[in-house]
Amino acid sequence: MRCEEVKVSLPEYIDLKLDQKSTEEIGRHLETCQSCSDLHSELNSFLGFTNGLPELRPPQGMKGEFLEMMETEIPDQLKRLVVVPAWLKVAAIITLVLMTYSTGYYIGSQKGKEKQQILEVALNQSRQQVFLASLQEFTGPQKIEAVNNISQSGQTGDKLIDALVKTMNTDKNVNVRLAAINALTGMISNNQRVKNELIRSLSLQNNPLLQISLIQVLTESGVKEARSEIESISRSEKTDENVKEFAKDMIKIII
Amino acid sequence: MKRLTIILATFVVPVICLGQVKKYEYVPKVGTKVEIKNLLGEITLQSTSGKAIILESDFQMEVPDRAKGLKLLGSIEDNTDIGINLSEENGVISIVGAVRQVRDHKYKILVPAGMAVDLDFNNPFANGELNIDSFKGSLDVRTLSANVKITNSAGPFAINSISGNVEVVFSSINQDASTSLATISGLIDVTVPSGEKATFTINSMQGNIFNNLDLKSQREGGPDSRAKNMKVIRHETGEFLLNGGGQNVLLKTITGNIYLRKK
Repeated sequence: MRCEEVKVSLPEYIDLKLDQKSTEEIGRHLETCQSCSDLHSELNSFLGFTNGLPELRPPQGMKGEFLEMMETEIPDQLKRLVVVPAWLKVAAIITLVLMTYSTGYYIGSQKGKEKQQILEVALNQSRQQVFLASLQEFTGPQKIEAVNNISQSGQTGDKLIDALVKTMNTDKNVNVRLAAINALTGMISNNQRVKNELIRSLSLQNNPLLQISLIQVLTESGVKEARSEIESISRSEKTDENVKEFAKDMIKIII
Repeated sequence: MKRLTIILATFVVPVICLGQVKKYEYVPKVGTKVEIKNLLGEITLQSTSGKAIILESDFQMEVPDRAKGLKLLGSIEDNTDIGINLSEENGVISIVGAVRQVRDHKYKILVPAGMAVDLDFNNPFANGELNIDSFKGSLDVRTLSANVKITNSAGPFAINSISGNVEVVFSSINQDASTSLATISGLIDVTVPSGEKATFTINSMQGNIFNNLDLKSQREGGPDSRAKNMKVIRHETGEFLLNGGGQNVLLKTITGNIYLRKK
């Protein structure tokens, strides 16, 4: 399977809507192709948020108000339809018949078939282009908005935590990762799994701002289990000097 | 007369040639997003009401005589004549610096209003600042040490820097998506029209926070009675509402100060 085909089918793959054969082929492709695998992770994470968003319910009484409005609006609509002149209707029918006949004749001919095939290929390519454009058009602010919405919904289910953890550890945008850390911080009280994931993330992050943010969250929340990981960061040669200094200061706070 | 001709030929003509600005236009096919990479000179980004992406630069490539008939090894093609490779694939328009010399030149990039832009300036060889003015769209920016200055724009923005300053003069605050401004050791300076609605999350771990906006703290327990009639110059980490709250705006720095100004 080619990368383009895999990328187009990823939303259905994530939603488990593909047949078994396609699912297996895409699965094998993802194991060997880093580019598609990255897109899969990113899309999976983002779709996780959108699926987790709370269902919007219309306010009470809206249905009644809507039906009432329809009753007052429909007679006017009908009156407007009646005033269409008869000659215009006849002209429209004749045009439709002529178009149908000429289209059928054109498509029926060999030349027409070839042109149709070319048009179909072009149409499919355009569809693919538009679809891939929509896949990649999630900007940093849009992802941050999704993370903020989900954290404000007050949900704390496992799937939601999975999606936030994946975003915190793998999203390409530092600001989006930061938003995920903030969202998980809001769930830290009485949730051992969130604490563990925040501690684990310390060893996965490279950006100093994210490392410092994690250390800050864990120390301010009094997560004692984070002490050894923070000490390890403060001793590592690879660690940024700002982070080292901050980690050393924060270790004193965790008793 | 002869003397005048010599002066013109020696000084004036080269100056005119050096200052010459070249222009390249491209109308996107289906693209709604622009990605700018490896363009390490001073960049000015603006929105335009037209449909074309317009690139302007004073770029001049000096090619040694010995290199005539040869191509740069390992370099992508400069298909704009201003040191840039522009391409469109999968709905993304890529604007990529094609040669090292781009860092010595100025670039002005105009994109159609509403188009999202991702600007990657996270490179130790970046030379210059990023100026974004009258920009209408979603903007992602990453820098290492370059300062980011945004004026007359509403966002939303996701700006991240290691040691660069982030300055934003909002025309209004976009209410469709969140804004996030973060820098490790740079300062953050934000100017907001006083009537705008926003929910600020403000966090400077070692710097001070200076403010003259009418922010209301979300913190429980109300104001500190000891602080009565005293001017607040530093807030702790927290959420603050402007005009009752609105779209989320995160301001985060580790060692720099944060400045919040009324427009």
